[in-house]
Amino acid sequence: MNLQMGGQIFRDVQVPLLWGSRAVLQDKLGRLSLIDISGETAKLEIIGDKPAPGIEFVPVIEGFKIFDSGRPLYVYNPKEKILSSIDLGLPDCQIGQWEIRVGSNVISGNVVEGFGVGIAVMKDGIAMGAPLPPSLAKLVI
Amino acid sequence: MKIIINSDILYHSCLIRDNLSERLQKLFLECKNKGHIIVLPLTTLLEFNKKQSEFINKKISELENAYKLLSCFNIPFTRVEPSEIIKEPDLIELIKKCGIEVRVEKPTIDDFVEAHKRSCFRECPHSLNEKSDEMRDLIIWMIALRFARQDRGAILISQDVVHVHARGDDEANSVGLVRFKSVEEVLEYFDIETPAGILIRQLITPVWEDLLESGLPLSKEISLVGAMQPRFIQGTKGISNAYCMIKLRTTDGKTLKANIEMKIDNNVVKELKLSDILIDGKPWEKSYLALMPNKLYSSEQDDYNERIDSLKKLFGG
Repeated sequence: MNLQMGGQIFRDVQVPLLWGSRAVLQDKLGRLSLIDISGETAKLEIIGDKPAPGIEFVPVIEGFKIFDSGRPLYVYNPKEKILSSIDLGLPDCQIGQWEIRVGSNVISGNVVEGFGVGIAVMKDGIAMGAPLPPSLAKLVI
Repeated sequence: MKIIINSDILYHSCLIRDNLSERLQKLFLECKNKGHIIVLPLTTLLEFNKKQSEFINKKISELENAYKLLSCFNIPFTRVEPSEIIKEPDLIELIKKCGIEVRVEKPTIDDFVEAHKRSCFRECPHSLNEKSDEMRDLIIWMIALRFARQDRGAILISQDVVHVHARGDDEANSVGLVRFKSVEEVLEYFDIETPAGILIRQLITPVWEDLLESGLPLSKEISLVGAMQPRFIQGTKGISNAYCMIKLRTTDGKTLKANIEMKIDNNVVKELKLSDILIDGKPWEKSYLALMPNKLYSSEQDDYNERIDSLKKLFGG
């Protein structure tokens, strides 16, 4: 996959940004999509800034909250492009026009090429250019 | 928005010393967060002060009796004048302490005249059968209507039957006066002003007629006073399912509570199920209702196809 997102250039990557076990993608109009790849098959949670079909959600002031079987997982703010964890234990992630902010870290102006994952955001850190964790599903829709 | 409060809501069962009750503090904090202003009709303030004065007199009497008892047994003590330590609470300052703007509203001559007329002629919302010629509640009613008319909406919190009875429905609805019987109801109402609550209202609005036809004792006007634990499931053409526990006001001012489940297809509410229907905590004649309204609710057209195509393009599709 080749795309530009948050001021980074991703070339030949399988997942440009992995937030925990969720692949984050940005379309040409700047809208984000989130795909949970923790299961056997990939599960679309957000498509183009809106909840995906079959997804449980509640609209909130800043955007919408995504649930899984009644458990609140995270809030997505489509205006600011911010993902805020509720029960995932992950740092907030914001996809800006020129940078990607993860917690208090700002990642800007990088070219990531030929990796499974371009930027991996985990509970305890960030990695650039990482292999795709083996337990994750293949990113297909 | 202005929030008018009756004295029964401010009632404390003891002398207030430093702070109002926790529930009132919570109410005022929420009102502050929502940018509302508290209005105390002068009647409310006077009634509040009257009740607190009773507590003051009781405390003074208790203290004097304690002094007498100590003297009787020759126990040494330093006498402090009860009036120096037992003081009347300043309601306005106590509310201001919560960080919210508050004002005391004196009734105008028009408020008095209209309240007087309604009291004499037993006009709405005054009960036709009541023996009482009580004007206090009618004055508060007139003040609440005046603010609602002036600001295109207001909230009245009161337990008084004159204020919450269905007799006042038409007049309250005509000026956007929303009435609640308790602090809890207001806090729940604030919740329905959230995006989720607004969405529930949008979904309930087109099916209101169906709810009325089902025999539920609801007024013609939509009387949604609470929408708790809302959840939605997204479909490919907008929302496909909605769930929540709703609270509605019945024609006689009671609270109807039920779990609702809605199935929606292409912005048409196809099915509406109500379960665990309670009125003022007691089971209604039916515990379950299943309706097929087939009513369109107003929503923007979903652009799912365009969004999914855009995502597929990222995968080279």
